[in-house]
Amino acid sequence: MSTTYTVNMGGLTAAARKVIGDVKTFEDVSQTLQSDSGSIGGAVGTDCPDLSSAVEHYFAVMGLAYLAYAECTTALSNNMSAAAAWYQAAEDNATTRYRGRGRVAI
Amino acid sequence: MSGESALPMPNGVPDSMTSIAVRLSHSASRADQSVIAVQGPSAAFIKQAWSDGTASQAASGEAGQLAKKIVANDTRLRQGDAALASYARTLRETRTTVERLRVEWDEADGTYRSKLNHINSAEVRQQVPEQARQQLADRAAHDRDATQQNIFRRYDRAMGTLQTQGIVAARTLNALSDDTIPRSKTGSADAMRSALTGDLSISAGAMKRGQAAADAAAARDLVVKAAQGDRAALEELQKKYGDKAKDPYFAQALQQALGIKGTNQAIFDMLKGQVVGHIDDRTRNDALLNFLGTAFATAADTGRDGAFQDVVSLQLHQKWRSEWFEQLKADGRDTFKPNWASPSFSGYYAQGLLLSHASVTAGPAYMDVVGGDFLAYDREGIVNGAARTYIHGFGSSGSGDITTPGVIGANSQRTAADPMHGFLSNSAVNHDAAKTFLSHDVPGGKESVMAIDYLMKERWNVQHYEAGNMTYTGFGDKGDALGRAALAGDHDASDRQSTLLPRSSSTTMPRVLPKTHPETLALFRDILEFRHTAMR
Repeated sequence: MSTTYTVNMGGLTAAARKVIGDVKTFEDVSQTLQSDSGSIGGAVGTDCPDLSSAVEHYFAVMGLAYLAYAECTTALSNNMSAAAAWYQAAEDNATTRYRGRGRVAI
Repeated sequence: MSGESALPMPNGVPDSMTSIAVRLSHSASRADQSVIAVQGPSAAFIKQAWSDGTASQAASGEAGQLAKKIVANDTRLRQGDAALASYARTLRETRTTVERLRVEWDEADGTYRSKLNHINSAEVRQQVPEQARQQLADRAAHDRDATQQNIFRRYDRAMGTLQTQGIVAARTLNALSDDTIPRSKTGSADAMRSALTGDLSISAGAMKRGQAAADAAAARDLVVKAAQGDRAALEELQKKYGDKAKDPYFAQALQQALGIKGTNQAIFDMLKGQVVGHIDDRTRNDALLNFLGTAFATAADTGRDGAFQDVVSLQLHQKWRSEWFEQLKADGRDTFKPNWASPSFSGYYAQGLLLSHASVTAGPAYMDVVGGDFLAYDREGIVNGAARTYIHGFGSSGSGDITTPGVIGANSQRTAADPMHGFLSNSAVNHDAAKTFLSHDVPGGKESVMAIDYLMKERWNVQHYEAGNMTYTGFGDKGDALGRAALAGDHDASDRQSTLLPRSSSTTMPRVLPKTHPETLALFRDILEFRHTAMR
């Protein structure tokens, strides 16, 4: 009898580093948007107040979105790492139990 | 008036706007490529890796959901780029137009001045009468004004086009923003974050766990210092984390940060501080124990599982708790003794102390798994009618009264040092917990007995050695906690489990009542009356 886990342990641990995408990229995008939000107002000018306020809001929303996505990706990555450790422990336990039964049977 | 004064230049900087717009597309591409690189070739692999169990499948599903959100946002960045680039193009064209119109404006002025100079020249003055020259001057002014009015109309049209383009770009950007976060949810950064990730329950749960772990790490350091008598640390602990003791995320994280041995060490430090005189105010120890005990019970209580709103957090919590209960059982039977010369106490002493101070129930699962083992352990320790030691806890150091780091209500310190008091008093705040604890089968002796029978027939009469004599018996609180637990567990006769308790009590109580203290007699009489009333 052998364990029935279908989890690919090596792959799971490797995939856990980048579950959705590259966290660093999302953080960079967020920082770029926040940085640009400081200069876009001057670039747009004041001739169209509607556009000025829309631009300010747009950059704030998009900057926060990528920050939140970076956090979510990190959280899911950590979650996957925890799952990997969990499955690894479960597999180890299963193997130990199996060996224990084997010794008894012999 | 010059063209520069008459025709104000639109005041944006198109080149800056274009470079920012280009960056939007560049950022979108980077994020897209990152998602594709991971999700594309790895998607099947991740699916396979996460194929085991509902939690893993849910997490995998959420990963896909998040990837879609990011890709959708990348599209919005490109659309934002297009809107800004379009406005920048119009702005650039408008500025060019305005520059040209200014030149035309100034040329009209120049033509007018030239004509006027000619009209006023000596040669014309001699040849043309003044009235005719005046008419020529008026005609020149009229031509200039007509030209400049025409220029001004073209200027207005150019600025109007710019305005229109700005409104279109604003509308596009607002729509993109609202698609990302509805305007009604942009009141604060927290509200925006919630709107962005509200439907990503696993991510939100993971973030909560991360925050709880960070808080717990900071709280652990304060607990360690407070247990050693640091008043400022205790104040900071209460101020920053006092309310979090009842938060299941934080409560679990604190148990993990401290570890069972770490909690024991904190209790040891409080006890030692009192023995050697470093800590003279037990109410501060009580405050720390209230915090630790409440967090301990919160982490143990299955009734709080509803706080874990995503399947991954819930399963991780339940798995951790199940392992923690086993560790608590092993530690409960172990002796905590930091070094060979240290005084010591049992792990169950520490748990009893925490339970005595908890303001919330540890719940029926804890009372079943750990409480059941504690009852067995307690019964195993009774030999020839005497307890294994005169206390479970810390030995006194000369004064004979250092058995607990705090003071529990009006009860004696010995009561506080008896872990049974903690288990019973904590059971007493929850019907299911009390019923589970008191209905437990307790192994040992000639046969297993129900906990209520063990407590009332055997434990009640146990002798505790004290300074060489055996004058102290049973329960230090004269059965108060037992009575309250029996009352809490006894009021529901709607199922088989709960009817066991009344039957047990009704056969046991008459036999033990004659030996009990008058106050306890009255209490049990109340219990019996209550039960009979309830059963009628």
